[in-house]
Amino acid sequence: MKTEVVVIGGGATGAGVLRDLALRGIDAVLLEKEELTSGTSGRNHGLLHSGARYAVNDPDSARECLAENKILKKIASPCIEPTGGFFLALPQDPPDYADDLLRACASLDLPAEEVSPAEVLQKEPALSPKINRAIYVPDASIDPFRLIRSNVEEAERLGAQFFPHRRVVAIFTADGTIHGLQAIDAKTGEEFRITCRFIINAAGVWAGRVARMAGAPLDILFSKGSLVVLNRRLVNSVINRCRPPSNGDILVPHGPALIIGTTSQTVTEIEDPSPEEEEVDLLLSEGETILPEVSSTRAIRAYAGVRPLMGAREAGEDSRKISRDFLLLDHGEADQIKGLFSIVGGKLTTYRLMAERTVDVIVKAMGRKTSCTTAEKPLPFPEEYTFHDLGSKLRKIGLPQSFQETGEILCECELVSRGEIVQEIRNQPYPSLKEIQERTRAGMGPCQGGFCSPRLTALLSEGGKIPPGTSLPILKRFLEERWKGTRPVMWGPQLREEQLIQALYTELFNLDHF
Amino acid sequence: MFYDVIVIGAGLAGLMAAEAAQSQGARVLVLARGMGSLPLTTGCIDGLGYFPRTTNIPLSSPLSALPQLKEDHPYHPYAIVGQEKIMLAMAHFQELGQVIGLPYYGTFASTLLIPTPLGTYHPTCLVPETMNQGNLSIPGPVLLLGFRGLKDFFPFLAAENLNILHSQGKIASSFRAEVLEKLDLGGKAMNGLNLARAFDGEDFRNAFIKIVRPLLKSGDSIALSTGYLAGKLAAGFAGKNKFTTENTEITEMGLKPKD
Amino acid sequence: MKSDIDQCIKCSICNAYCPVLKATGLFPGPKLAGPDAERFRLEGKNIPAEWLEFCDYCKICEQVCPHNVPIPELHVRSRLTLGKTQKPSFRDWLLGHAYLLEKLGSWGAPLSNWINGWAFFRWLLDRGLGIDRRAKMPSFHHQTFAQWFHSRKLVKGKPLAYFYGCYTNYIEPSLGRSVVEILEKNGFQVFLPQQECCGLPLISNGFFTLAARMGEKNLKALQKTVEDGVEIVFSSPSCGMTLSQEYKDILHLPGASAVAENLYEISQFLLQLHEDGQLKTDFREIKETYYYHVPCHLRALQVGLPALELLSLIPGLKVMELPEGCCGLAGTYGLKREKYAVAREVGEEIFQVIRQWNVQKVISDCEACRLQIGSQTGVQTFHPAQILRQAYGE
Repeated sequence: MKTEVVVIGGGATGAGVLRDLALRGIDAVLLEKEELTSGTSGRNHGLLHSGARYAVNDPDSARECLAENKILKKIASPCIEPTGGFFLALPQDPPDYADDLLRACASLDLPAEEVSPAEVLQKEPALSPKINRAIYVPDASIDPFRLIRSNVEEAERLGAQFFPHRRVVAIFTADGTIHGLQAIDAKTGEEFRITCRFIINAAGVWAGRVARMAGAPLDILFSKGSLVVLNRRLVNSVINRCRPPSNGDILVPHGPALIIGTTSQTVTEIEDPSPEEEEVDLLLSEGETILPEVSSTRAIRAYAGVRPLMGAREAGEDSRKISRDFLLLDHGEADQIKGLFSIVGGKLTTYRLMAERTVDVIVKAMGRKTSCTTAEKPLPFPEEYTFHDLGSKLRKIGLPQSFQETGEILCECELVSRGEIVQEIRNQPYPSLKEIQERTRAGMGPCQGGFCSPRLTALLSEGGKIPPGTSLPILKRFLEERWKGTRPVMWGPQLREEQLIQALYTELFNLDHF
Repeated sequence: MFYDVIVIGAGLAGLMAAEAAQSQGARVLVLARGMGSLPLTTGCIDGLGYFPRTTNIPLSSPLSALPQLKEDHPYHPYAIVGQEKIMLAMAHFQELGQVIGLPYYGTFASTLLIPTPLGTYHPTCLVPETMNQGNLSIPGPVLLLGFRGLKDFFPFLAAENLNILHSQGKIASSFRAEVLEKLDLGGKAMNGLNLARAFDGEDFRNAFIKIVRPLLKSGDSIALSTGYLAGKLAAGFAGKNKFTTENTEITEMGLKPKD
Repeated sequence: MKSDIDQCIKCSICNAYCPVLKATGLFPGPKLAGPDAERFRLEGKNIPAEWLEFCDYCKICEQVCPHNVPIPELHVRSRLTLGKTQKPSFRDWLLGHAYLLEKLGSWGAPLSNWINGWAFFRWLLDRGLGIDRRAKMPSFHHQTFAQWFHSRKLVKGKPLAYFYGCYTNYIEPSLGRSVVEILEKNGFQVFLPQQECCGLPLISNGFFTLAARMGEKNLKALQKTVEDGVEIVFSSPSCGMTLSQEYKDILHLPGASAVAENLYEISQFLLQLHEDGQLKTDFREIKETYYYHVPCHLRALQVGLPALELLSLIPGLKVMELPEGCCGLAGTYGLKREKYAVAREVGEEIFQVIRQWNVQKVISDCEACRLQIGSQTGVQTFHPAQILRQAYGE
């Protein structure tokens, strides 16, 4: 296979880069070693920053967030719930921070408006009555899975190619220039080569590993962050603590659930991150101080992601840094490997900007003169897609007597219909339970897929999309992943839920003996 | 109100305890927060499926395994209760089944392998009448029938997985699947319970027979995911409708606990 | 254990026992319409009306739920929210204001009964308003129970209040008479506190504000009774359930709990008397077989089956239990054209058994059950108090 640019890494950055390249008419291929959003992009907070969080300490970052916030609301509105957000101060928070925040936002033209605590409590009665300052900002809730998939879908429509389950094993250079790479199909073991002039290393926490394949040193530091998902959303706005950024600061309503985050812990292990007990406790207790009901609300899942941060060498050198927030490294300059670019760090909110900057550099290196249109062109979304609008969702499902048709509800916790799931399966060459879950929300509710995963597995199998005889191992693997998410919140109703689900799989299906 | 015995919990254990006390003349009260967990069970009385902490090969006779169990796991409930009481309890349960018109078949001495909606099996000892012809050691082809809208039964998936077991020599029956698209419950929600109730009606049974007959091949057994009295349907196929297949038995596959 | 949707572990036992789910595909089931949808309603969005339409409020789901999920309450909360954007129809206004209709029917009796029996009138009601012409309408009495009570001599004794309810007052005053006579025989001086309709038809049809107003009035009168140290009995389980549960949980009326603690279902009250050794048990022999149907709202009161125990004191009387389940009428539910057939299907198992066993007489504490079972099978129906009254003789 031959192409101009290979992008490595199916996260937000890689997807954004692929879309930008495709829109500029550049031949590109995206390789992902597992599935889209298998890395950090699939384990974030689902928060579309207004930028206010960074206004005081990192105004450049804040400015970028603000601009991208507006842009994404324009081009990706179906996957964004414009919840708005508040920065709320409690008596124990540094009293000056609210004023610092307002001042900083004003200087950035970031619309931050102070409101009275009484007003906030009327809008969000579940909040703590101890709030003494409140600032309204245009934060929003976003569906990262759909966002990233839409980027890739548009790119594919324009001729780009995306291959999941392809792990890069070797990168070839000739005379200090990128020549191509070799990847292995994780499902079949088949090896194949791609010839290309440019490689964009957007492999997130694995970026160091990828760079080293080309002989380029790249130090990545890893910071693990954990989040807890509550069964009910309790509030309809993003809630931030009005204090210098700290752990457990932010609560984001995400569909019918509420996500509390986050922590940060330096780690060396990047595979399979999972939350520690202390992290879960900390998130819940921080959440409780601003939202008292948190402690009596059922937690349904906890998960962790690893943030890739730039290492010491890279942090020191100014010339290659586009922003303190993310690093775009041209290995041609630094390490005499022309055509290899690594992009590390950043946040979901600014993915499009990172991609734009990256592709601008590539385009310059190619000697072409095309400009970025990703901020203007709206992203494609399937017609039935709804992120947060229950009303239209239920209207599409219709009356119970039509449940026998495609309106039949297969995930009852999240009200996902058979039609949605079949559509999702049909659209993917290698659909997986995880992807169905991320794309449709099936399995994200209180039973965490306990009851619907056999139904989904059956649809996968009957859709001819999985090899014969693989249904049970696929289901079991899904259940193991599910267990990782529920184990850290194993108390109260969730514990009872697990007992029931365990009984379902051991007593009814006897799956533990197969 | 005074009672001799108060039982807390209305699951199988609670109800059996209450029945046992009442049959001995006690005035019994069963207290439960809800209606008990029976809707969530398989409908079978398991014996001992696997020898604890050993292989994934089911025991062929739980009764024969008792002496070894007693030796290796002296605190296992079976070891403590003892063979005689186990056999008494099983017999009593079967008596009860006769009395309430839901007879159970099987013995503690022999394991039956009953298929599940996923195409695995679970080893058990006592089964209701409808599952009696449905154990996987009976050789021959089986037609798995699904219904449109019956979302917790997956005939094609089950057939695929069961046929893999068949090809590995682990079960004697072989399978193929069909979904009955044209049969519905006349405006009622399609779920296991409603389907089972529908089979109590002659009109539905006749409609079912009419649709299924052309799908049957010689020697077929039929398996459904619902409870049904074998007798009525078999008569419908073999008797009045002049169906020529020799062995038409209706068997039940693993009950899905909900709906 | 806090009662909440968090408690729901999706076991679906509620679905397994819901009588409407087994009768029609028009209802998504208590689990979907209740705890599943409620998670989304917190987003501020309404659940579509069709999902709530066919619940008959039998409260069986709540009885069978192992985990304290307040499913009927979730249902009502959803309807309350929906009510803010959707007004009930004129038909539902009429049925909700059943007390007005009954008052009018009683005032106009026997003419009102004649009109009700007129096929053309019923056809009009059916086509024009959606009140099913097949639904049997009860007959109104011109002299209400309250009028009868106030027209007789006062009988002295230990004071006891009686909340008789609209149905007894306008339609079945003989039941009220039986209750009063039983109580007087046992040394009580019955008095009737000032009472309005309990409000259940209003709640079922979406008129929460008016129901709350009537509830306040009722509570005011009943609170006075309680303060005077007098207990209150009721003979309609639906009225009793509304007074003791809905006033507190749905309408959030202050003082509801205090009154609820002094409210007793009539059989429950008499059985307690008996256990205290104070019930007159000089019953005549009644050598007959009756069949007993447990009303859903009696079950919701969680007082057991006191009528069965009481009736066992009557010599010669044989009372067999009918298969448990909802009869389907559910107050005004089964009168509605779009629901009549569903209501009939809900109770069909009971009606079939009645036909198969050749049942002649059915006892049930709830007037709606009596109306439904009587009209669907033709059997004679009785309240337990009427049998007790008969057994007391003279």
